[in-house]
Amino acid sequence: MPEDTFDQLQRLLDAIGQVPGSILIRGADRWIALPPGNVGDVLTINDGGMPEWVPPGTVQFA
Amino acid sequence: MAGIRPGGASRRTQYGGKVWLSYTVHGRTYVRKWPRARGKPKLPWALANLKRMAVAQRAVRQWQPEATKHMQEGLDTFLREHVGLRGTAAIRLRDWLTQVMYGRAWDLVLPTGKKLYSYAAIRDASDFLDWLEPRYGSVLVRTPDGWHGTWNCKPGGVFTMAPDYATPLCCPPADVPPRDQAAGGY
Repeated sequence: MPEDTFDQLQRLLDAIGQVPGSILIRGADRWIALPPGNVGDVLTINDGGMPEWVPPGTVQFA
Repeated sequence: MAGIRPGGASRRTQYGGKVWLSYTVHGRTYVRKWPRARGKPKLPWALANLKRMAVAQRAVRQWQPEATKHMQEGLDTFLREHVGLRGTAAIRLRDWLTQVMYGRAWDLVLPTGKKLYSYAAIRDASDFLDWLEPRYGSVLVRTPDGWHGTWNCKPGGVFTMAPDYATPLCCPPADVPPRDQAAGGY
């Protein structure tokens, strides 16, 4: 991929979020950046159907 | 550089009523005040433009003086980086504001290095990603054949790596294999 195109894509996505460790998720009306969680947190789906970071102790694994 | 005054009761420009325009048509010289007093536009698109400009002007008044200072600095940065002009600006702050309103100005770099983006830019980026996946709650994941949104996650589900380690997937926590049983270990 040409470097210019790569930079343009980066700038495009930077418009949504610039914090390192963010994840792009689709909100109700547009894409938003989910800020990074704490170390060890687990990405889970809340009751509203949106991804969120939770501490690992709150999730019961097998 | 055009100046933008802090909010006030007057709706006239700083030079309103003080500038005279002279011009010649067919040998006759006319002198009149400039700008010409104009009535309210009647066409819907012109009214909409007027409304947008009024909203922008109100916003600038509310943000005074910090926002205008930041915008001026952002404009200087914009000129340095994208236009290559220095010193006297060839673009007026008012025109730049118009660019922001119509989404043609992409970002504004504050002296701290933080970038502010116009809502139009954010909207454009989101519309761009909607081509990949428009459904609520999706997370973008790179699969072997491209970027896809995971959208079929149930509440309580967690993201884990698929057994083939090809893609992250969303599944109930009970389905996540213990670390020591996962192929290859962690």
